[in-house]
Amino acid sequence: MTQEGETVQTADTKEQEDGYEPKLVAFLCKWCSYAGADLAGGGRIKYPANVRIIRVPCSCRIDPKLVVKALERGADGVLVSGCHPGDCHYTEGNYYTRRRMLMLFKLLEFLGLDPKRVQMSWVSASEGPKWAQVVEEITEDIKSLGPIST
Amino acid sequence: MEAKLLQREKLSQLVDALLEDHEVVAPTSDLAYGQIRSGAELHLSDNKPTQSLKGFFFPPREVLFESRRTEDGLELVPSSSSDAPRVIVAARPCDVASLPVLDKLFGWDYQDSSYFQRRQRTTIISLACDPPPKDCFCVSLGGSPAGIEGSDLLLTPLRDAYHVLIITERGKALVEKYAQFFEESDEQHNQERARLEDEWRAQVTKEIDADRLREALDFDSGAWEMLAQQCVDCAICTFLCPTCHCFDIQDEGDNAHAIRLRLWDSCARQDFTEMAVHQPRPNHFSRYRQRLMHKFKYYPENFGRVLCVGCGRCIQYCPAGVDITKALERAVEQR
Amino acid sequence: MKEITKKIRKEARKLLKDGRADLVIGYEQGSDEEVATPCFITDVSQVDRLVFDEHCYHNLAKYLVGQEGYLTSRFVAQEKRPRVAIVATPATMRSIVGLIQEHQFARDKLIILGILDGTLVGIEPDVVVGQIEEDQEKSARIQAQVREIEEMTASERWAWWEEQFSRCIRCYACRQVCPFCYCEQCISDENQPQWIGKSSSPENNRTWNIIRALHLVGRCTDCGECDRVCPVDIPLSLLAVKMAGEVEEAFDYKAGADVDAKPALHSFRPDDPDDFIR
Repeated sequence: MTQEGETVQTADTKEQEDGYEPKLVAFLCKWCSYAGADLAGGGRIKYPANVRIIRVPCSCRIDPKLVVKALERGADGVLVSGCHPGDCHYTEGNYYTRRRMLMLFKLLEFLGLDPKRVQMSWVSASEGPKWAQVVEEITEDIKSLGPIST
Repeated sequence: MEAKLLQREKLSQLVDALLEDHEVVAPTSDLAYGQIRSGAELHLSDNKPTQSLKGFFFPPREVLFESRRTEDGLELVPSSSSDAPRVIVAARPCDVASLPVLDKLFGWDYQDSSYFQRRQRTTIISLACDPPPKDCFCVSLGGSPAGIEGSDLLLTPLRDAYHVLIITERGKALVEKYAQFFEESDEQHNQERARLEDEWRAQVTKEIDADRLREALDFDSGAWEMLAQQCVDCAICTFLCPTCHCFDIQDEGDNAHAIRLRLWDSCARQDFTEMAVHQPRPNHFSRYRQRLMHKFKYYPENFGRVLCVGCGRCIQYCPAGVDITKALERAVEQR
Repeated sequence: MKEITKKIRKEARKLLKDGRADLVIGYEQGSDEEVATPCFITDVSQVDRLVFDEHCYHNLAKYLVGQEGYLTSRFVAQEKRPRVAIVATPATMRSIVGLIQEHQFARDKLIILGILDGTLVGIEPDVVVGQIEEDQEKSARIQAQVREIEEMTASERWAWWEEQFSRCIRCYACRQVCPFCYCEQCISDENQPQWIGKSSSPENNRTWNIIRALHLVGRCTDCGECDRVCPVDIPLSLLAVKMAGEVEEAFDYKAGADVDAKPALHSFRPDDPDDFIR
């Protein structure tokens, strides 16, 4: 997939030094996962700089086409993350997301995309360490897969 | 007209020889023409390729220019198109006949340089339709299953060889250059060719009366609304049509690298004539009317010939089974 | 088949005569005996144009909805819209179920002259005009092909689909024949932002086909029209059948089976599958 228009520097600079560094786009719900990522930052927890975070009001805001578009525009992997079931700020947004993402993942898998490239997590506002661990694992997953070949 | 013979098995050898200093385009499947890399890829079938030849002159996606953001500002990169000589082999006569029709449009008030560059670099060897497919109506529009318009050479399959009719100087030059593949044709072969053409012409039974349509098609007719009912507004007929030539200019890409493109467009589309505050063809039947009126009234008025070669693809592939010949008849009768 | 034609004509005549319908949507013979084409009858004298045979596979539900659909046209005021009767094959009826579920129109706006084949349709036709055979061979063939693709490796699948999508000429016939593609403006026609590049290129074609398939998940009733009309033979039914299977497995939902159900992606259960989430 094309990699033009890339402006974020960290992973690119690193790539020149150590070889392949995947680009990971993460769509985070503002109430839980984004706050969780913030907590990880505030707590000085280290996690890979490969992730580019996009904050959305609710994980339910994440239209599957955003994920598809991220992949088309050069992301090597996409993470969708929201509140744990029952914790949604809007009561039930994340339940819809869960159904929708499952279907997206199944479709992409059928089309031949490795399921590890698109993943979903529940990260609450208090789960800074979990956030770091999720990013760590997904970055490793995608690193082992390499860039998407077109 | 001068004629030669080409033994059947020599066609693919000829293609191989042409490939040494030409690009070669030929039917590669029942779906389309494509560039081939050896004579063995030649796909000769009774079915006419789903897609016409027009994409090789008027590409579905043509880059007009590219822009890149550099440290010194914006850099514009003009598009470049190849001028390597090209031969189209086994083209359907109707597809080829569409090119002189398109020439008029692309050379009208503005000479479309990329279109004519592609025309210029291309030699066309047509292959007669044996037998003509069932939805064709070329004969009534002045064409023929063994029509020569637009072709440089015409191959007609006789029993054991192709009869090669030399139509243009360009065709003659090709035959001379590759003389080793061709044999002399005698009067008997020429007569056989003429007989076959008559036979095939008689098999084309669908027809359109272009002169009558030009007179009788009426913009204000009440029939259009009824006729358009079945149409689902897809672009199959326009995209597969060898003569439909509407295009759209679109940008793709992003800030760092953008491409300006010329793309096929279709008058059947909802947004085709949409402007900021107005849509002159807001509904379905006005778009349907536009297509038929353009082909059989406006184009003849502007350029002196109908915008149709009778290939029948719009009939064969219409999702709703609409037959353009019947629709036109009804448009005129039920006015 | 002859019997069905007779019955359709009889019912259509009755409906138009009694003034219970203004329009009967059905099939008539096309340019020759091997072609049928949708037809729209408003006058009793035209009723004998109606036919039904094995070439009548078009999904007529398409003509009910969208910008200029008979039941939803934005050019015709609600009270002036015709009362429609429709000749419906099982596939058409399943689409009608989906459209009613999605509140495109109410059940009482439509008189259904149904043709059944023993498969599940989530709606009671007003009149049953005939019985036909289910095309089991076709669905078995598609199922087998889906399994064949599932068995490929991921990169084989990717390459296979890339090849299929590479042929797409973006004529949007798949969209235009689909009864569920009734959006006022399709996402593919949007310019700002341009979600899907307009030209036929590998990335654009892939994105278009993925997004189209996604928009139909849990809605598509697998009438197969997109697959039938595609002029470049992209096997779109495979996506439809595959995703219908996934929806059924994960959410126990079958599109077109129950007119009162909420569409799969418009609803949820707290205990939906969750094991794919970290």
